[in-house]
Amino acid sequence: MADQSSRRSFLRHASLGSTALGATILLPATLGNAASARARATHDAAANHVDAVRHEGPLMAYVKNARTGEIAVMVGEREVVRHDPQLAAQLSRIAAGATP
Amino acid sequence: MSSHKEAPAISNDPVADNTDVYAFVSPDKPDTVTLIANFSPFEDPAGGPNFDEFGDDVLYEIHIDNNGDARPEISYQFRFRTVNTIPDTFLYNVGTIESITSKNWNRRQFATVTRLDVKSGSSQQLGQDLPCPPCNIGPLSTPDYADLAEQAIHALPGGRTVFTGQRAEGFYVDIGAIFDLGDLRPFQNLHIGSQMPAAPGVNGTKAANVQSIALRVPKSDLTANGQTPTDPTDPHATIGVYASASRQRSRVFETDGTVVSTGPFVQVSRLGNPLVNEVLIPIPQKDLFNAQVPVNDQQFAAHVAHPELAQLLPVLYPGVFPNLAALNTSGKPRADLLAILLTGIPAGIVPGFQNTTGTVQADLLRLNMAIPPTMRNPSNLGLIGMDPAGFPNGRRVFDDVTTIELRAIAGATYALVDKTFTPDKAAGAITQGLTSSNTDVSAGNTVHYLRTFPYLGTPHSGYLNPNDNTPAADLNATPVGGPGTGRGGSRHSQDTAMLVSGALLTAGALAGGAALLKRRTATAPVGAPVGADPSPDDATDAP
Repeated sequence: MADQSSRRSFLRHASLGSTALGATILLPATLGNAASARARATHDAAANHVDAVRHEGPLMAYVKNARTGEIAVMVGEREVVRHDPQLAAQLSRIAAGATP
Repeated sequence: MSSHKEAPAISNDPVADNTDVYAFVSPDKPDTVTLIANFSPFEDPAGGPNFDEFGDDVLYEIHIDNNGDARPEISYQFRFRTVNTIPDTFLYNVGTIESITSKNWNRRQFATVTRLDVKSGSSQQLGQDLPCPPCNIGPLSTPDYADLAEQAIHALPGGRTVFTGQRAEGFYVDIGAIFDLGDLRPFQNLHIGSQMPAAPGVNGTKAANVQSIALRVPKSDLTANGQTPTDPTDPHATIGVYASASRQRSRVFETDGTVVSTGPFVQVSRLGNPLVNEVLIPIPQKDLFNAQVPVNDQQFAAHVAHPELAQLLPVLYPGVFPNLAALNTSGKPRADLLAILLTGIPAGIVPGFQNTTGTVQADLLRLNMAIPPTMRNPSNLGLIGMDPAGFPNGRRVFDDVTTIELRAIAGATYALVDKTFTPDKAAGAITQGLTSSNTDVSAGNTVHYLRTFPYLGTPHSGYLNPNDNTPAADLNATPVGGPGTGRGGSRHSQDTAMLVSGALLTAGALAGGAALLKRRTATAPVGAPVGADPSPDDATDAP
């Protein structure tokens, strides 16, 4: 029984050290958020709008059909579908490695 | 089985793979209904160091249709959040997990439960960050597992109760045989391709666990009029239930190992009645089936009306199913299966019983909530065992749904809709050989259900697996049997026949079928459970 206790105690001590390490790793991300917030305050309305979208997380544009220009834009848990042949063609050129 | 790895795409995504759905009036709290949706098929209890869990990026839902339109009016949503509390270890736990707040437990999961009123779009968060229990690892890590699980049963507002976590697999099936060209071990000697003698069935899932979402709610939480139904003929009494798992449309795998998901949730798995997608839908349509909502199920109805397995049975078992073969040749649609699986059984077919939701064809598990739980002698054959509280009136954890559906597909229920049809003698005697009788609610002592919520048994310990089905030590009465039930379960042959034909005609056919199979399986080893006729003294009282 004593052996079991000492083993668990050892494991527990090891885990306490790990917790501290985790907090340190998280710190830069926190600073990054603060910097981002300061930057947002200085942007104009359009930039603020872009930041608001960015705040939701990554944005995914899915060109489902380049010929019809159907593009699905996914952000957060939303999806917006637009038909924009010009943008679809531009993205297709990028995908092909050409200058947009 | 019953929806384990049933379609190609979802087979590669176990955390979203809906394996079983149950819906039944809670036997110990009959003013409530218990809804269970299980995920993670064939879960190996010893699957460490990253033991099984729910997906944080999966939206789990249990849907309720309460007005017969085959669309959900209520959806209970479950989301999970996983945290590592001890980042610098590879271990799931660093000591004994003595409680669900134990500092020795590293990787933890929390559930958030929301009730969505679909029509209004309003939602109510019923619980947030509710701790899930750990997986049952072994005697050093989780020595008192039942106590841990008990701590993860959470009371929610409005008289609701929830549990989300690991449970012992409750579904039993001889999966190893049945997917070996439709072999049914108890009479595999009759199989056209078999040289093997009849043999006892093998419960292929007896040592597996699942990830289970169990929700108990008042009946009034489910009905369209907010009332508690008491009259089985009340149209408000029957609900349609299905569960689903959804993922966001887009996933990007970053090079740092993270995955970014964006977009709306898209259904990748769904389940109403057991075995529909698994057994009735052709492989090329299985992924489509999983992506569709039940209201669109008319597109799959032909596979129910003309099931491939019904065509195969007379071929695989020559001479055993001549009447089924004739029915197949006639090309008549299987109106019995369409009713059982896609619309519910209307009044007038089975005396005193109905669970129809109307004419819209949809794969929904239909539960007439006004039918009380069977508290004595429940039948694992449910309605065809003259136990109206069981499948296909909802589904209890111990219902032998594979046998029920095999019998139905073999023609045992066709006489419900065509009185001129005589089921084959063998149709009512089909068995997996996994139960000692129709009142056996422990699958031959291989499944250990609980008497109370969350009803599915204590999960198998990783330490004891594989190949050891010894129940966890904390199960103080093993097996405790199913969640009680009972005045229903009947002596199988006689009462099944009464249901099927409403006349003694089929009773004779079923009894004859059982006798036929017994004669033809005379070479079976001693003790081989051929047929399912209980002796008069083997009735099982509810715990």
